Parts: sequence; C-alpha cells; structure tokens
Amino acid sequence: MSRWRAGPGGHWPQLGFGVGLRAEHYEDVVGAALADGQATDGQASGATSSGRSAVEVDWFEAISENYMETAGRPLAILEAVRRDYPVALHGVSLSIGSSDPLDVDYLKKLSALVDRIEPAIVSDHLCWSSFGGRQLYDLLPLPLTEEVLDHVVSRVREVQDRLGRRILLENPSTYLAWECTNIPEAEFLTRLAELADCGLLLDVNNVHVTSTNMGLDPYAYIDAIAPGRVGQIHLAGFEQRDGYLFDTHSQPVSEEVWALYRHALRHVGPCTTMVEWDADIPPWSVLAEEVERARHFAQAFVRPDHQSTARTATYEDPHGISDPR
Amino acid sequence: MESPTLAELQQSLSTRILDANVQGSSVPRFDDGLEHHLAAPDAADLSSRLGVYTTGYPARIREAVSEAFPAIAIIVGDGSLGAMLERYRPHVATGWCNLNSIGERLPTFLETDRLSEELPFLPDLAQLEWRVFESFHASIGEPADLGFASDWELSDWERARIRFQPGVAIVSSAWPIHDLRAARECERSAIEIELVGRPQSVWVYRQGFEVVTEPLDEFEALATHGLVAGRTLGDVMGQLESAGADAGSVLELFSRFAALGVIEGCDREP
Repeated sequence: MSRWRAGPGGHWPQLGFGVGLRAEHYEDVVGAALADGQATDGQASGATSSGRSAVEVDWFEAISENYMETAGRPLAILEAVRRDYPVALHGVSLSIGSSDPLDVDYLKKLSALVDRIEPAIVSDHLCWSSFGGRQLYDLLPLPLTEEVLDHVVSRVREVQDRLGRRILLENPSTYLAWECTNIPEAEFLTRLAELADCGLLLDVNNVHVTSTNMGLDPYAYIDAIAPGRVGQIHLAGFEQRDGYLFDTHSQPVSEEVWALYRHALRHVGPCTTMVEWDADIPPWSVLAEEVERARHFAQAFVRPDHQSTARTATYEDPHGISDPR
Repeated sequence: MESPTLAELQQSLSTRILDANVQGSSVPRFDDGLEHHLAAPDAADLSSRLGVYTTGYPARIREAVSEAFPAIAIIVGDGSLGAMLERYRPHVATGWCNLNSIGERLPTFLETDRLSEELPFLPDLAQLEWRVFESFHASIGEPADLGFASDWELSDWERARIRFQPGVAIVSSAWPIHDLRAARECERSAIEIELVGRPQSVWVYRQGFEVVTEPLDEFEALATHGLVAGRTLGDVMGQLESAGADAGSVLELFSRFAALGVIEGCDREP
C-alpha cells in the first residue's frame, strides 16, 4: 500500500532562482581551495561562505548520478554547497517508463544520496532510458497511452514509497512520437501527477523544443498543465538543427523561451526556477546574468508576500516536499 | 492487428540504437519496420529525428571515454578514436547508468585491439588513466596513527602488512606512460616522446582531493608492487635483496608513505 496520501498538490518549496552545479564553476561556488583539490584529509577547507565569490543564486541543482558512485572531490563539493545552499537532486537514469522492472540497486543508491544530502527536491524525467538491462544513456520518448499511464503511475508510487518522499517528473524534449500515442503530453503529465501524487518539473525550454518539433502550440501545452503540481521550472538554450530544434543546454535562453516562461509564471504562480547550461559552459558571470533575468521576469508576476526568501541553506521542510506518513 | 506493447516498442527502438552503433552487427531486429510505429510532423524528417537518438548513444560514450582517458583521446586523435570506440562498444558493460564506468574495460580491450599494434603502449596508458580515474573517486579515510608500532622490533616490522588508502595504485609498463599521460595537456601535433627503452612505473595516490602520479625507480616500483599486493615488509625486503637492492629502502618507503598519509592501517602477522 502506498505511503502517500491522495490529495492536492502544491506546497512545493520556494527556493528562488538557481543553476546546475557544474565542475566548471566549482571555484566560483565553493572557493578556490576546495575547487582546486587542495583540501586535505577529506576536510572541505575553504568550502564556506567566506570562500565564495560572486555567487548570486539561491540554490543549486546537482545531477544525481554524478554523486552516487564517488567518494572523492565531487561529493565533497556537493556537501560543501549543501552546507550553504538548498540543493535539488535531478536524475537522468530512473527510467520511470521502462518496461523493465525498476532498478532496485539504482534506487538504493539514490536513496542513500538523498539521505546524505537532504535535498529540497528530487526529480527525474518522463521517459525511458534502459531496456533489457541495458542503459541507452538517453531520455527516450514514451508512447502516451492509458496503458503506459497506468504503468508509470504505479512505478512513480513505488519510487516515492522507496524514497519516502514525493518526486518531480520533467517533460523531456522530444523529436518524434509513437504512432499509438493518444494522450497529449501535457494531459498525460497532469493525470500522472494527480494519480501518482507526484510533482512536475516544467522545463519551459523543452516545451518550446517539443512543441516546435512536433507542431504543437507551446502556450496551450502549458495551459494544460495542472499549476498546483508544478514544483520547479527549468530554463535552458537549444540549437537549430536541420529541420528541428535540438535541446543542447549550450546557449543562452532564447527570447521565445523567455516569453513562454512569463506565460508559465502567469499560469503556475511563483515557482522555483533554475537555468541549465551543460555544454560550452560560459563564465559564471554569464550564467548569473541569465539567473538575474529569470528573477527579474518572475518578480513582475509575484506578489511581495510570495517572494522567495531562500537565500540561505535552510528552509522550512528539511525533507523537502515529502508528506508525513 | 493488435497494437504493440510497451516492451515491444522499447525493444524495437533500443535494438535500433544499439544495432546502429555496432560495426557489422548481426543482431536480429525485432522489428525492421520501426518507422511505422513512429511519427513526426513531416514524414520526411523521420530518419533525421531517429538519428537524434541513434547518434546520441555513441556521442555520449565518446564523451565519457574522452573524459576518463584524456591522454588516449589526444594521442589517438579524433578519427581513430571514433573507429576504436565503435569496436569497443560491444565490450561496454551497460547495466549501470553511470556513464563514468563505461571505460572500465577499455584497458583490457586495448590489449587485443588492432590500434595497439600501431601504438603498443595504449593498454598500459589506459590502465594508468583508469587508475587515476578510480583514485579521483575513491574514498579517503583517516591516515593510520602508527604510534602503536613505536616499540616494534625489526622482526615485528618484517611481519607487517600495509593497508593502503583505496586511492593508491601502481602501474608498470615497458613504455614511458607517465610522460605519455602528460600529453593530455598538449596539442596533438606538439607531442614528441621518445618511446623506446624507457620503461616507467607510476605510483598513483590521493593528496586531499587531488590525484598525484609519481614515477618510481625500478626498486621502488618492485617494493611498492609487493606492498600494494599485501605482502609483508619482510617478503618485500627479501625480494629487493634478491634483486640486488638495499632491503632497508623498504623502511624508507614505508616512512614516506606514512608521511603522505596514504597508509590506512598496518597489521602484524602472528
């Protein structure tokens, strides 16, 4: 039996405006001593707020898999960051839509990392990334049908039971669909969130990329998402390829996506937001400008009593978005 | 006609992704008509859209291997690296989602790969780079407090075995692998390393979060191999004597290891 109470969504932590934690910015975030590997005996010397420089973000998102099988510098940096900031753990390998059994070993490692880091948010993607025990290292599209919805709902419940908390699932960028799909993606996500009592990570760039690639209306897509289920928003850049948009996270956020973000804020309300930049990573100052732009747009839609105060490492619920048993 | 199940669709696409990336693959496809189950707004786009997924798989493997084996990637060069990775892909252990582990079998694979006929140092260089990678991710415990051994006699030391920190390793080669590894910071065209008659043994350990590699001389290497393998100091001293070296240098090495904090513990055989 599920530990999770059926009920309305919402009550997501308001973390403010963050970025993905990437090795290229370790020094900007935790200071030179730790970033250069000069700390000794596993102690994170220099990993204090006094060692930071120019950090103008409220929180960080870390790729879960990068910290599951390491005991070296990456984990020490994540722990140092966590001492000063809220952290979200964002996975790419849960493979929630695979027809394989859930990977129990993966879930144990994720659970151990969650216990160690105490993230505000745990998320992954609506996709499949493994089949027959083989990893495919991609976020592959699912056929969106009633049968698959039931399948994913039951797996999300099981994951949440194992982790002891709710997760968020992100809409992926897609380049093609399955012929048998008969539920629009936004409707699928909303029904999934309601039935499994999970949250949604609304990637506005992915909405733009998918909608352009598949001939959809991105504004209608966002309007079909249940606003109370959205616990986080992603922003990122894409590249124009021959006949489609490619989700590269290698560019500034496009003007089309900024416009869509403003629309999403009107629909969702104040929402934890982060900027992803994973390839051709720019200097910290460039990333910080993108974050400031998101903050600027958001402030126009947020009432003063709802503005984020999450510039510290603490927040009301140390276990994030989990409900009590 | 019944709609295919989720498992059938996933088998079809995963086979296409894996099959498309194996040279001369004879893996039978569940469904050669995969495209009939897929849709894109413009049907003419379907193959390029499918290509996003089939080309993404080798690209990610290449990226992960290049990150873990930077010297191999530079020395081999773009074209040969791509071809070598096509041959390596069937050897990849794909059960674990962490792409970092994708290079685990590369040193062994290179022992018999045709690229190593031309560049025979590749397996040893790959072994060194993999040990560095493992050391980077290894845990570091408290260095041993060796005060308990302050009253040990020589006979006690001879029966002692060292337990090293997990990030410690040694790699020996008939080739100058330490110098070759330094090529990771060079332009490919600027690499000029004398290869013949320059065997090197390299000791890998962690200082804080930094991985250190250090070439060892012949006798240091002999002793370190023995100690890392768990032999007693007495055994290793005997090995050194047989090789015509000063057996006392083992105790000097021990002191050096202790000063660097790479000793996790020391046990005395009864």
